[in-house]
Amino acid sequence: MISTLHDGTATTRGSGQGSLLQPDRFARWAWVWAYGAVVTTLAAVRYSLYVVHGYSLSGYLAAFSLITHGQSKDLLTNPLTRAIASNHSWIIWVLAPLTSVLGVGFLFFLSALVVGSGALAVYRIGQLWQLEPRTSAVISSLYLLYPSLIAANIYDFHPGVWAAPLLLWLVWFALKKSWWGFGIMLVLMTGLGISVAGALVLTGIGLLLSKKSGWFGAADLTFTVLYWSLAHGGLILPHWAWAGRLSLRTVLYLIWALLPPSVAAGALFRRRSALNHWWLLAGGVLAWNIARGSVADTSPFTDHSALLAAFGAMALLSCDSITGRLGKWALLWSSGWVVLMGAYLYHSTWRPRPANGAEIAAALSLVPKSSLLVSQSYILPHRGVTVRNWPTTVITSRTIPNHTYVLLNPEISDGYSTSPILTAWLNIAKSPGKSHIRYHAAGVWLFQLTRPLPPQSLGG
Amino acid sequence: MQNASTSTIRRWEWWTRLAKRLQGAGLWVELTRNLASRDVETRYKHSLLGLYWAIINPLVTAAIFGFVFGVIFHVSTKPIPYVVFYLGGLTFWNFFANGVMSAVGSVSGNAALLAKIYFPRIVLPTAAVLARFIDFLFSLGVLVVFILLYRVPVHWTSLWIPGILMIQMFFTLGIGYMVAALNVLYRDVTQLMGLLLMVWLYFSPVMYRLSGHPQSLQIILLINPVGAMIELERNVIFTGHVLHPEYLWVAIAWTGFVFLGGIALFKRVEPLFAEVM
Repeated sequence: MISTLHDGTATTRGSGQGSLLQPDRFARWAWVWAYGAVVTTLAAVRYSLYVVHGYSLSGYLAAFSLITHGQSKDLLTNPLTRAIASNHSWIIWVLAPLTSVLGVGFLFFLSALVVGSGALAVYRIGQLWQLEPRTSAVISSLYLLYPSLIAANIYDFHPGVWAAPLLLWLVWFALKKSWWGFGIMLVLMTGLGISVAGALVLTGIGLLLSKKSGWFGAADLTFTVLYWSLAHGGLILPHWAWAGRLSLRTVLYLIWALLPPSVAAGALFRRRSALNHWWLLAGGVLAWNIARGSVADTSPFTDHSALLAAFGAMALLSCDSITGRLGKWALLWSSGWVVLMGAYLYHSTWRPRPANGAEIAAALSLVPKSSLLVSQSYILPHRGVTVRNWPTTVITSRTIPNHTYVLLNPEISDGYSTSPILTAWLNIAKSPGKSHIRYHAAGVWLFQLTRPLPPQSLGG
Repeated sequence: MQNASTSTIRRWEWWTRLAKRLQGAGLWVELTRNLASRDVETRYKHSLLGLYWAIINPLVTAAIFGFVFGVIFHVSTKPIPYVVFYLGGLTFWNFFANGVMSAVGSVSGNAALLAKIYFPRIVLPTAAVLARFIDFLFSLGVLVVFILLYRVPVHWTSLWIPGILMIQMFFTLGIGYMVAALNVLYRDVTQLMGLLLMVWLYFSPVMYRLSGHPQSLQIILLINPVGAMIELERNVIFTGHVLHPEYLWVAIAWTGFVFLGGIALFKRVEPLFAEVM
C-alpha cells in the first residue's frame, strides 16, 4: 500500500493491521514501553541488590538536594557534584524537584523511556526513506538491543545517554523539515551539558552531508558553537589523551563495540551503496572514546559509548541495499545478543549480589537523616535525595567533621574505593580514640567519628 | 501567500478531525458506562442477595484464610490483625483477578450483540473491567469496616491509593484486552487464565507479608507488577512508608507496555472476530 505524507512524499506502508515486524501505532509504542519495562526492572533489581555502580547516581542525588535546598552555589565544591557542575547541564534543574518528590525509581523509569523513544525515531526515519516497515522495525530493534545503550542505563544514572535518542529525533525533524521540532531537540540537547557538544557537532556534519538537510546541519553547527561559546566561554571538545598503547580493556571494548555493527554490516556490504558517511561518524565516536584514554571512556557501559547506537542506526538506515537483506541476519544477531545479555546480566547482577544486603539495609537504617555519611557509591543512593553523602575517597582530600557516620562493606568493591582507602577506613574503625562502632555484622561496618579527621596520606 | 492559506486549511482540518474524534470518544465512553452498569445489573438481577454477593465473597474468603493462617498456623502480621492484613491484599487482588476473568469472555459471550450493530469492540472488555471496579468499591467498604472494627491505625499516605488504583486499572485493562481477543480464537484461554491467576495469586504478597523473607526473594516477588502494587497499597494504608518505592516505577513501566500491547493485540485480532464467531 502506498500512502502520502503531509509533505507530499510517497512512502510504502505495511498492508497488514500490524505484526511484530510491521507494527501499527500502538504496537510501536508498546515496543518502546516493553524496552522501558525491561530496563527499568533490571535497573531497579540491580539497585535494590546493591549491585548498581551508583557513583554518578549519588552525585546527581546530591546535586538535586543542593538545588532543591537553594544551595546550588555549593555544586562546585561538593566532592560528589563537582563533575556534574562543570558539565553545565541545565536538565538537572528540571530533574531536581521531580526526583525529590518521585524518588530514585523515577530516574530509572524516565531514562529507560527516553532511550527507548529513540527506536520510534529510527522507525519513522526508515518510513520517511521508504524502507519496508519490517526493515525499519528490525533496525529499531537493533538500536534498542545495542549493548552499550542498555548497559549505560542499568549500571548507573547517566542523563548523557539521552543524547542518543535526542540525536535521532533531531535528525527526524531535520528530514521532516520541521524547524520547530528541530529547535526543541537542539535546546533539549544543550540541557545534557557540554559532554554532548561533540555529538551535536558530528550530527551537524552528518546533516550537512545528507541530501536536502544541509541547512539544518549548518543551523546545528552554528547553534552548537554559538551556544557553548556565549554561554560558557568556548566549545570544549574532548581532549586527546591516548597513551599510545592498546590496553587489554581497550581491545575488549573494541570487540564489544565493533562486533555488533560489523556482523550487521557484513551482511550488507556486498554493494558499495551500503557505504555512507554515517558509518564514518560512528567510527568517529568510537575513535573519540578510545582517544580519551581513560579507563571509564573505553568501557562499553558509559553514556559516551551509547552514542554509537544512534550513529550506527543512522548508518544502517542510510544503506540503499538494505531492503530484504537485514531481516534474517538482524533477527539472528538480535536473538544472539539477547541471550548474551541475559547470561551477562546473570553473571554481573545476580551472582555477585552481596550476601549481606539485609545487614547493609539494617546499618543504613541506623544512620540519622540529618547526619553526614561516608560510604561506597552503591550504598549512598539508598539515602535518597540528600546532600549529606560523601564518597570514601574524601579521606585523602578533606577534613571530615566530627560525628560523621562511615558505612563500609569491604567485601564488595564499588570500583572507586581502592584497597588502601578501605584499609585506612577500617584502621580508623578499629581505633577506639577515633571512632565508635555502631553496627558490625556479616562484614558490614558502621561507625561514627569521635573527632574531626584531617586528610590522610595513603602513600606509605 | 498560497503557502499561508494551505497551512490555515490544514490547521482547520486538524481541528475538525480532533473535534470529531472527541465527539466519537464521548459516545464510546457513554456506551462503555451503559454496558458496565448493564453487566452489574444482570449479574445480580435474579439473585436473592443481589449486590450483597460483592461483599459476601471477600468476607467468607477472609474468614476462612483468617482462621487457617491466623488461628491454626499462627502467621504473624503484627501489629496488624491477620484478617485485616489479608483482606487488605485480597480486596485489591480480587479487582484484578475478577476484572481479567470478566474480560476473558466479554467478546466471545456477546456474539449476538456483535452481529447486530457496529461499535468499537474494545468497549466490551473495558466495560467488563469497569463493572468489576464497581464490585471492588463494595469490597473496599468491607475493608474499611474491618479496619474500624479492629481499630487499625490508617496513615495519611492512604491518599496515594487512587493513584495506585489507576495504574492497577490500566494493567487489568491491558491484560483484559489481550485475553478477550485471544479467547475468541482459542477458547482454552478461559481455562488457562483460571489456572494462571491461581499461580499468580501465590506469587503475589496477598496472604503473606514480604518483609522477613530473604532480600533476593523479596525482589523476585516485587518484579511482578501486581505483587508490587498490592504491597504498595497495603504499605501506604497500614505502615505509612514504602519499603521499595522503585518497584512502583517498574509496575508503571510494565503497565504501559501491557496496556498498549493489549490494545495493539486486540486491534490485530479484531478483524478476525466476524470470521471466527
